[in-house]
Amino acid sequence: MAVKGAMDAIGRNPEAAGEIRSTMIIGAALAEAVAIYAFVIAIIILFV
Amino acid sequence: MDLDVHVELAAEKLFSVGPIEVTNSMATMWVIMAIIILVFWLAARKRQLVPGKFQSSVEMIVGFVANLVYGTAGRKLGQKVLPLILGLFVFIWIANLSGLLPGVGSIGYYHEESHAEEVVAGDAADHDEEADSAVVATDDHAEEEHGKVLVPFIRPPNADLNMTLAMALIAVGAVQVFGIRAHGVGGRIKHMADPPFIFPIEVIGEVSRVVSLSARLFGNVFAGEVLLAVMFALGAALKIALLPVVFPVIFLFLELMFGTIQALVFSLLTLIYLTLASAHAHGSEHHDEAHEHDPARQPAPAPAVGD
Repeated sequence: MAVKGAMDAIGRNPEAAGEIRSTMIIGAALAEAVAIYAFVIAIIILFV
Repeated sequence: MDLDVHVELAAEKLFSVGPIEVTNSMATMWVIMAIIILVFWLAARKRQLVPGKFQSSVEMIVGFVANLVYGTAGRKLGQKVLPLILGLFVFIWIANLSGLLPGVGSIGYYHEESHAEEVVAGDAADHDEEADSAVVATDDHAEEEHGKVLVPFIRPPNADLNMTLAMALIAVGAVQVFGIRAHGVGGRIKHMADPPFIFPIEVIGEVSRVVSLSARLFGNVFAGEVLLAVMFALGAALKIALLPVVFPVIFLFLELMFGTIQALVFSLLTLIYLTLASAHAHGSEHHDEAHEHDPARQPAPAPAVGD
């Protein structure tokens, strides 16, 4: 979804591709963070 | 297939200076700090108007972060917060990249366990690694897994939750300091309790920022270390010509990317929090306007809780 939005935005406004790309990557990293939290909590429960 | 992967949640102790235990993460952190200070000092010592290769490459890093900071926080506030953000970014970045060096997590000494649980090292390590550590998890330390445990000399600083927690506390503390400096103590509280009932949510939001910042960075770096270890072990276990060498390269690249992105995310989020906290009346005007039109937007800090 985020990538689709970014692609749409780049298609509409190709000059801003660089900025949109970096914003997209940050957004993707933030979305991914939820999974990382689950991982951290699982690891902490497992080892502590 | 026997995978010899050793996962250690807490940083291992190398030696102790007085009451302070020096862990491998701490030692690596000092080395990285020394390298960063040395590089930046060397770059700034003989600075010229027309920079050489070395100076301009350091200037590129500084310029990149400065652009980001000035673009988000504006010139006036940006100049105040630039040192913090630049420091966070460069340190986290270099620290994350340090996890990719060969020898990290694999060069170390074998630590003899003197605890009651003396399991013969070697074959015991192979089979029920998961089951083994699950049993051990009921004990106090995850360390007494086998008779011998490899304690690596180098461990990325951000693979230690203490480190990321400290950095997140500094970041969120700085947010409060800048917020109070911009509005005063009363102003800061008023800023947070814009409609009064939202104040508790804002407070929880501030606390959760600490958790989310630290857990995100720790999780990414730690998961990266574990992933690399597993992939190297898997590659080695397959025993097909050259595969152990080529196979983990994909993941090394992935880690290179994640290390940079996470450094960027940490410093960018700190920057955004700082900017939000010290936004002036102009900003809160916008805020009022926004949730007059759109009641769904009212809990403004909600995205911070989620990410």
